[in-house]
Amino acid sequence: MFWKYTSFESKLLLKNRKNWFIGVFLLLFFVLYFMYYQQITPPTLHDQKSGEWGMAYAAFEYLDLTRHDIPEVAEVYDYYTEIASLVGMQRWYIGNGNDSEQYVDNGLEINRLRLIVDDLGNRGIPDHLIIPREEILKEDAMLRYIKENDLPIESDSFATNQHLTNVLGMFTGLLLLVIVLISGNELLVYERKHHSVLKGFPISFMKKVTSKIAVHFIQLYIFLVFGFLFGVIYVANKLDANEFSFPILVYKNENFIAVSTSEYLLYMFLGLALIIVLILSLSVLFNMLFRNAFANILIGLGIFLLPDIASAAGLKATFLHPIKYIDLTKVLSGDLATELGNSSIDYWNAMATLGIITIVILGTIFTINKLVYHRVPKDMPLEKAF
Amino acid sequence: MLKLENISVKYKDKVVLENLSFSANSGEIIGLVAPNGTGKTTLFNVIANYLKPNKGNVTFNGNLQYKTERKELSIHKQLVTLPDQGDLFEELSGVDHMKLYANMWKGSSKQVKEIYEELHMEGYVKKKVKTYSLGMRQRLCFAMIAAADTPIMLMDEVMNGLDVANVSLISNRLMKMKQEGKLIFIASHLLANLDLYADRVIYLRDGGIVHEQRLNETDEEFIKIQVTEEQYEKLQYALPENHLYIGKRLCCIPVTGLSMEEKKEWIEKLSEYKDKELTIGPLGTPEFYERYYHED
Repeated sequence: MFWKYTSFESKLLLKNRKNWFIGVFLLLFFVLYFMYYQQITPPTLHDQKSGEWGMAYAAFEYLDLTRHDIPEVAEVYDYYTEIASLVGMQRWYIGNGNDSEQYVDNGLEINRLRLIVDDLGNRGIPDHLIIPREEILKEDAMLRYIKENDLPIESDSFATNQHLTNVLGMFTGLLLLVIVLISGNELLVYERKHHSVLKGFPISFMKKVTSKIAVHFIQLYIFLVFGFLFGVIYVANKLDANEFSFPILVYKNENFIAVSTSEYLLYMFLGLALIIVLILSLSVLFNMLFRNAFANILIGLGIFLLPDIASAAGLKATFLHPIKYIDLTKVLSGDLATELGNSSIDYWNAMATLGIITIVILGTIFTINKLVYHRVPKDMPLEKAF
Repeated sequence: MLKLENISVKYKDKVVLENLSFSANSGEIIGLVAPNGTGKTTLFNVIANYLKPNKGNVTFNGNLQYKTERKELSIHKQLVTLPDQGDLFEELSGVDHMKLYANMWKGSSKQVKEIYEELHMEGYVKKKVKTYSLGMRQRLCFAMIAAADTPIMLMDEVMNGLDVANVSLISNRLMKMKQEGKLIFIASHLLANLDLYADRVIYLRDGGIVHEQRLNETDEEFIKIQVTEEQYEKLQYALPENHLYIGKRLCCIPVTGLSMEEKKEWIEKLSEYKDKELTIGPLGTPEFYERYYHED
């Protein structure tokens, strides 16, 4: 019975133009994004190092002004002398020196020294020249990965990775939420338009809900995966970079680790699967409570914006933070941990929290449905909505 | 098979059903007759548990009631309601709809072809519903519940929008279903049509059953003639006390208990009314309808 019902739900989904619009959007989104952004060339490693050297030199000059008066600044100055020298050498290694191994070793040493400077409180360095600790840790994780996996320090695959994280950064969060809310806005509500056809089916409510969520999930996920795949094929061909072993940084256990692109995408798509199921379950709950397709979208968006509104109002409201976990790119990059000032927010923490929320939502749906059978009519007879 | 006990459905300022009770058995067709807005659909909704009444119980097969979802599923496996035309899926075909019902209740759609052929739907059943006329849609609604093939069927206005040929087609199919042992409830405004296949007709008024007509069991017959109010006024003093004057047009004289001589006498007397058709037989559904709803 469940499969027969699911097959009917699938047929309805395929006949609904809205779902095709969403599908086409997902198929085109990544390709169009890459088409536009691949024209923007990210700065070369040489450019980055030149900028870094400029910053180090500027800091160096500031430190020189005060090092004679303050002993702590003198210590920082000494470290910076070394840092500036090592950055200069790095520029040589990626230029005429052509020694990537030495480049990486120098980089690791620079990061070690920068962390010491950071521990010393960056005394004497003006704020705009201070390199944040997270940036140092990120760079360190990246270099260690390159060293361990014996990867070239300059490759177009780095640019591809940057495009991938950028496009996923744009997609996850608000855009994904809107897409799934639109897809699921009529999960139950449409039954009211056809209630005399659908109401008496001999199938339990939870089985119906499971079937609806499964069908919509599969539709969204298939289009999402294929859309992303088309985008990746396009950008990889354009940039001539097909390597998925190049590193992407991930925030984990209050630290940064570099993982391969394929591992990053595995985390991403597992997480997206859970987030889609969560939002679809939430749509079912909203459909039950508000019985209106627009309410589903508006209230869903409202809830997503709650943490920002609370924050703007000066409220800490930590309990609202999990709402933001659906922005998976920010969770993986550690940006959300920084934004919300909660260092414990990493991928597995977010997944566990979102998993629990999904179970709670499904439990609420189950309970509301059970309560219908125990309600006793008083002044009015009780109409069964779904 | 089905027992309704003291069903009451009341809204703030309106009583729709009040302490309504009756029972029904398999192999019966029960007609439900009442003007619009008098509780026929509400009663069906209560039987199907789409509406939980303020009071009362619906019991199936002796002990099955809508107490839990599990029990509701057990009941719904045996019960199907006629869908409304307006609720059909415009983008799906008739076959899709029939297969849906066949699959949901029988777990298989093998019987679908046979049903649509029997109902002469081959010409359009594979087209999208949005191309159907009212009559085609109505036949599809009937075909859907025929495909579900449950022991209990609730049909609200099943003959709605059908032409004479299709009313006859569906009437025949209903009689076949009765022979198969199904319990069928039909709410209809085609009153004479109900007389063809219904075993009982229930008349609802003021929230309760005002009359229950057992079509195959009655031996009460009447001499029936249409007379104007003027004619009736002249005639009424001569009429027996238990006569009926229905809808201010039909005069009915019970023949049970009359001797042959008395019957002849009445027939001769009434035959003076030229151009009026005089019939002898039991009261039909249209006559009862007029009696209970047009008297006022």
